[in-house]
Amino acid sequence: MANNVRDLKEALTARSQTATLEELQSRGRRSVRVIRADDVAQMIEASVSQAIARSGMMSPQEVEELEAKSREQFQLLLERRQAEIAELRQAADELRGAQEALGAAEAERDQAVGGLEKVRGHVDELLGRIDDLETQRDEAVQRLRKSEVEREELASALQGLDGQRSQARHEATMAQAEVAKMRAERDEAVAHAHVLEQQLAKAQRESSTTVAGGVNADMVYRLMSEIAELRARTAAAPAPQQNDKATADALAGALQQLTSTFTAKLDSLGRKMGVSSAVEADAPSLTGLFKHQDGVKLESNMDNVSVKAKTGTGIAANLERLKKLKGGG
Amino acid sequence: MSDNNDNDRFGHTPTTPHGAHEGVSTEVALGKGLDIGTANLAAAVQNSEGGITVTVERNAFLDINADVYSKNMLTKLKVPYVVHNSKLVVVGEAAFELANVFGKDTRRPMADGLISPNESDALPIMKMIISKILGEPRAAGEPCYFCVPAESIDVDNNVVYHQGLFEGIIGKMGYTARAINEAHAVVFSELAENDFTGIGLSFGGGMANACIAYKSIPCVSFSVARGGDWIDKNVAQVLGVKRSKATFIKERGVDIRDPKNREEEAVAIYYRNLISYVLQNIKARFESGQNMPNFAEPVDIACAGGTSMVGGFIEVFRDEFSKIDFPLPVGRIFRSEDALTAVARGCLVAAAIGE
Repeated sequence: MANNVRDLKEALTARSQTATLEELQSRGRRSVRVIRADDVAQMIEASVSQAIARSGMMSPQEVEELEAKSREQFQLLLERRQAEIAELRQAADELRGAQEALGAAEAERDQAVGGLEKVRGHVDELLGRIDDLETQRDEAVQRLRKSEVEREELASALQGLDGQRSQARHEATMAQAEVAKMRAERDEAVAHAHVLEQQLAKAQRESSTTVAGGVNADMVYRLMSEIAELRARTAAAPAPQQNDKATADALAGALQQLTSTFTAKLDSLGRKMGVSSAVEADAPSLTGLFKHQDGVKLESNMDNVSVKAKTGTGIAANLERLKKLKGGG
Repeated sequence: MSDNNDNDRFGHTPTTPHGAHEGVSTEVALGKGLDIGTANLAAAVQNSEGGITVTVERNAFLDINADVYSKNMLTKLKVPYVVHNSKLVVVGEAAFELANVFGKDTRRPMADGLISPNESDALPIMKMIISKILGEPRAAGEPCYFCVPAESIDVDNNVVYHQGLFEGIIGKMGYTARAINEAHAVVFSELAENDFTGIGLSFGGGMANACIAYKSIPCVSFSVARGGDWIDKNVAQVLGVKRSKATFIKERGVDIRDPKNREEEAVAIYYRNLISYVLQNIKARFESGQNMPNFAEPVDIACAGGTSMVGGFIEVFRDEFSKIDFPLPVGRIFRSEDALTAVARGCLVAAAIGE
């Protein structure tokens, strides 16, 4: 009997095959029928016991011993199968874990691919901006070149102005020399005219107190010649007329006019150069300009704000020096 | 200029003067110095610690619509204003800042170193600013020396009217007003070590003034009608911006030896041109020989004024000086340590000594 049971188990083992869950899934089996090992053992045990009892080949005691032995054997087999099942379950768990890990990895890969696409887009954007910046840089370079040209033009213009200024300064120097020359000529002309006037007056006095033939014609001729020469020198007086008193008066007037013109011109030039022959009057008092505002009180918050103030070194040393210079220290 | 922005907008009461002896109370002579500049107004007075205190305000204003909200806002912000002819007039540095914010130009009471005939409304406002920075006289008739420019050699101007005008304004405040040449004040301020002998130059907003002095006596004084405003005008023209903007560019810390962009390049070009122009004119005056002293020893040249405060000014000045054959032996060329207030300080020296 025991051999039959063993044979049966062996037969079961021999005719059965171990299939992993993955293999079952690959065959399209989503579920399998299972039977507990105890039930199989009981069924085998029962069938064996019934067969033995019906055969009458063994005593009840032998049957019990055989059953105990068979149970023990079966238990051993059962444990082995349970161990195998546990291994299969563990393998299935590991497989499930691997699948989940694979899913997670695939998700990460998808995410990474998405990030990569974003980075690629960003890179494209940056490349676009670089293009823009290069365009702006080129424009800035153009502007810079243009401003440099403008600066050079400005510098050139300034140089031109410097040249004009130098020319103007040169002309001013020449004008100063001309003024000095004119002033000297004027002074000489005035002095000479004064002498001539005196001599003419004297000659006229003499002519009025003597007979016509007694007039010193040579002297009058000489005086008039000098006057004519003076006219020619000044080039501003009228041409000499007849040698009479009217001519002398006209000459004196012309000289006076010439002198006045020279003086006015010299004063004008002198004022521009900081030199004036005029006598300065007292400075005018302008306090009257403010008498209309004295009673006006403007609305303001100036009394409520302070002004910027800073401190500095004293002036004692300056005052001491000044006192020494003035002989008071 | 940026160097002078170390105080709050409206300043604060000074405590310890630089270089003064702390805790030492010295006798303070009467007298105040007033720099009436085209761009800035500055008043100097001796303090009880032996130093000096200088109050500065920008000589500019900006009128805005007078409404209650604006007035309240200005009052809260402690921005100085005056109500004049139904207009709300913001004065001083705040006007300059507001003008830049709104893209406007400030109105200027003075032009080319003298009171501007185009800004007749400005006189009462300027009077208030002067009154604010000068304060009350400490005694009736306290001397106040104020600077006036010399007559210009390149334009016709009326210094007599300008001088008389401010004598009147300052006199009405209770001071005894005395005028002193602007560059002469620089000599008083900066050339003490040279016995007040040398050349004082004041580069202001409207003019550049020169004074050649021998032992404190001015031998020759003259001015050219070019200064910081001339630079601003030309920079504004070439850059196509408002003058206030050009002023801002100029004052924001440019180094004219090393301009960093097109705007700074324009500032540097006109600065160099201004310096060259002034030097050429000084040289021409010396060469003309009119009233020129003969100096046996080399003389120093002291530069001052707000326009000289730009970075690299004195180096460019020396560079331009080296290009001309100056008809006089020159020793040091230097800029005042406090160029903005040097003229006011010189006026104060004159007031204290009764020069």
